Amino acid sequence: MPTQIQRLVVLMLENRSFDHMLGFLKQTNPNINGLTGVEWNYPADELAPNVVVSNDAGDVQDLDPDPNHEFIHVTNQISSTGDPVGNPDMKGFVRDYFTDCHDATHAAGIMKCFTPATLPILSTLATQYAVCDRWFASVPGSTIPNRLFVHGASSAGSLTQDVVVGPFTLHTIFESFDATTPHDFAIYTSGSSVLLANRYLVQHLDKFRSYAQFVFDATHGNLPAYTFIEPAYDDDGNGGFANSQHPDFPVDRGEALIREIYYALTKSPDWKSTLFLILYDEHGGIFDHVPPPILTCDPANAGLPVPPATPPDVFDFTRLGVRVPAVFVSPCIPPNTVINDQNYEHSSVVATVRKLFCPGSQPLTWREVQAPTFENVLTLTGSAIRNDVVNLPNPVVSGGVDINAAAAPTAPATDLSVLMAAAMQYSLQQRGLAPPGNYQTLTTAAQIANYLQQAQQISKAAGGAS
Amino acid sequence: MTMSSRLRLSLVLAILLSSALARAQTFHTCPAFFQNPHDTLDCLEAIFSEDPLHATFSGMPPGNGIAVGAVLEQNTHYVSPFAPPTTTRLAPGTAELQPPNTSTSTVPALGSLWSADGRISAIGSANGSWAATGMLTLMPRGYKPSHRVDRNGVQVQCNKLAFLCTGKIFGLHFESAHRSLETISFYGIGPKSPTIKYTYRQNDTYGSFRASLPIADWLAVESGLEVRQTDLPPTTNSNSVSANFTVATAPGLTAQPTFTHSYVALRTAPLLYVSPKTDDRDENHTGPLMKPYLLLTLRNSAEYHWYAAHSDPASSFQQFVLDSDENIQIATMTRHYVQVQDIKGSRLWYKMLARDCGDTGIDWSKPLDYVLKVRQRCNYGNLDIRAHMVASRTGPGSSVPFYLQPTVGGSDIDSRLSLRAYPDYRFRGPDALAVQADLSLPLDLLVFYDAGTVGPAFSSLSFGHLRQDAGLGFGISLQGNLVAQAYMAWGSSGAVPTFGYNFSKLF
Repeated sequence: MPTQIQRLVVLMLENRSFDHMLGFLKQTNPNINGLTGVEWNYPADELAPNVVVSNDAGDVQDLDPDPNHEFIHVTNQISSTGDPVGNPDMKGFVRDYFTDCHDATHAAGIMKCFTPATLPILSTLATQYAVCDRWFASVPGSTIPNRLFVHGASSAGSLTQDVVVGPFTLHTIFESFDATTPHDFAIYTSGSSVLLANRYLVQHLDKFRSYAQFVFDATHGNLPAYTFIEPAYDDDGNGGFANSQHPDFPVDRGEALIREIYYALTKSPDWKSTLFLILYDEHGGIFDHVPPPILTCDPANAGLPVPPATPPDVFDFTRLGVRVPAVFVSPCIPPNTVINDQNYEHSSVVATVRKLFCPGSQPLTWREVQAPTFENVLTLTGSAIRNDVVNLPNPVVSGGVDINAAAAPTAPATDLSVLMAAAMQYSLQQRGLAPPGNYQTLTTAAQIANYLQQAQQISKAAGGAS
Repeated sequence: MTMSSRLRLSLVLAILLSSALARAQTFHTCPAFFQNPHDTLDCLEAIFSEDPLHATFSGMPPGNGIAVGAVLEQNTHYVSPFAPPTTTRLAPGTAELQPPNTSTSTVPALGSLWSADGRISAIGSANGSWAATGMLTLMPRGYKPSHRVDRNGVQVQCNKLAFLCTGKIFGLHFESAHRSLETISFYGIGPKSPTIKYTYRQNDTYGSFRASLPIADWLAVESGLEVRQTDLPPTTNSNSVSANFTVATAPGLTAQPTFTHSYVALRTAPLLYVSPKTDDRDENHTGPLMKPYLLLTLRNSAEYHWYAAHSDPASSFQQFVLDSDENIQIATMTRHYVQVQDIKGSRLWYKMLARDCGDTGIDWSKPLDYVLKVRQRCNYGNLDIRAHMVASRTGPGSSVPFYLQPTVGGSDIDSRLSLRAYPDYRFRGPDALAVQADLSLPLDLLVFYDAGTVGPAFSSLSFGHLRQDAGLGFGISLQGNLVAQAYMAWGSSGAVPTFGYNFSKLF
């Protein structure tokens, strides 16, 4: 029986696809449905070669202007033939970005992806705890409808950046924290939140707390059962910076936010029954290679509320959006866990919160009822629960000195690279393969790099995709 | 203002705040403005948020109403000083990954050393007052993202520059503006000025820059330089200042020199939390029912100003200004579950508590309904104590122009509240002292006390001249900012019902 989640903390960042952020983790854990390095898209210029994924995503500048990610553009991105339902080939990202930036070379940047070296914090947490490679945005559209789904398993019919009607009328999971449940919730914001326009929550403004209080609340045992954290969506013009990772805001600041939350939670008296879930609202128009699934309303759920269809697109909310990163962090999760048993989506948060904290209440929509839940993810129990706190590296600024230092032949190995080697060794052993030595004997960055290269060759030779 | 109208105002402001997420909102819904409420609201939202040009509204100095206008703004994202690594693209069809090429640390070009935010706005109000402002903020990109260990032992993010590691960063702020104000009240100078109100018009044109450097998250130093020209256009009203006063009774009345104004300031703003660390696991219902949860924000500043009059040395002066704003949010954190069935005797106390703790729709007829939940935060109010002190220093034969003297009473020209039972700008003098205490209670109720006076010299700010008042009202706060107040104040001049607003920020 898994450990009961008593504190759930959800951080939802902005506009990055799974492959863009974590696809190259497949290099260290072949069980992850990530990138082999040969995935490609049609070029913007028909006479040019196909555009292949690359491992050179930068902190900023790759995605300026902001890639399109409204409904019609997502359709074009996932299907180069314009048929997103029949057989989406995920090969239209470059061409769609070209319609935005009008520069064929720059449009190819939509295929750029991070590596564990350039995205060390999220990668380390995904490696040291659990990564879900089948978590999809709820709507093949933009930020607001997806952020509404994570609270209400519906966007109140909105497919657009509507910040008025949908956010106001939406019924959310927060309404279920009524007097019949012993549990409570809080929403930490850095100033703005679409939830501030919700007709229920605007009458419960005491549930909103400043993010500045989060570290204090976490370390002093003041977090309620369910905590939702909003990042800073914009620079405040006074030295406070956006950390949502929305293109083209720097990714490293979001990495720093993740690290800060992680360390705060590890200091909490509740840490051993806490699950920290890092999510992204949607893919932001950036490449991913996995076609989004189609949902079918189970006839048994036919009587439940239906997310209203939205004119004029006549979209019935049965198609999910593009895959996004989802990382589960808890001392009750063993390293190298990969969650891919079902197709998760943002409604899974609503369904899980209800199951954990408001079990007597009614579901909001059939999307919630059919969304897989993740209450069983804390598989370690009793004495097996981990006591370690992972030493997270510094965020990497594009082209910055941190990687250079690690790349020097005699430089000591970073914690991250050692963790990667440990993860690789574990992975090979789990598959019955002999690792190229014991990573614990390695001390320099060059040794670790050599070890990882050999390990990948062993993996490939054994038939595993590297 | 009724509860429903307060709710509406809160919603409007909430929508404005939440619109930060909605970058794509455009005017495309406006042609269908009258066709359905959805498009109406979308269009309105676009009108007030569309980049780079959108409509705005803002408070004007008291007596000049609320202004509407337009803002043109351009904000650049703050980015770190390094360019992305050189592109490493895979050959099509190969699976071999090359490590990212990070061996070349790019030296930033001069033009990329600063991040800039710019804004131009023009607003006008119904009485003919208007203002046009241009602002530019430059932030250096020399800061690197870093972290430090805070007092909770947690690595928190900060921005590193040399030995400094702060949340905020150094900024250079440039501003040039012209404002034309049709009505400013004047009652004479001194703590015993009569109640007869005179008015004057005031035009201000200024250009300024200031530099602020955070030393720590709670401490910053600031310095600035401003060139300011004020004109007092003549008026023909019988109650105009020019018709009723002289240079002797209103220094600076006949000629307004250009001033060079410089200042240095030290500002502190520590955030302190007071709440014991407890382990209130669901199965661990021990200890008292509540633990304290206090949030203290202690904003204080000390400034020294030099005003040098270009053509009239007799108008030069210096000022020492002390400001303090000590805010305490009073709350507790619940440590026990209390269900309806647990309450023996009167429920009144628990009903009051439940309201302060965010009543979740308790059905008092259901024994198992939760009245209080563990870790529920209960808010009882907010105590805000403010003080503002100005001490001016002039040379022999010099005096501070009346239009640059601080005022006490109602709101001053910067919309700073003081004696709320008195009219705006009621008392004026080269030296001033104002103290206030506001206690905000649940349901937005407000109880306050004000005291203040002015004088020709700091030593003259005696208790004998101190004016006092007290009052009741309610306010609307959003995200910790008081955006509007309505209150009744009682002072020596009687009761004054007032609706005050505080839209000092442009939306």
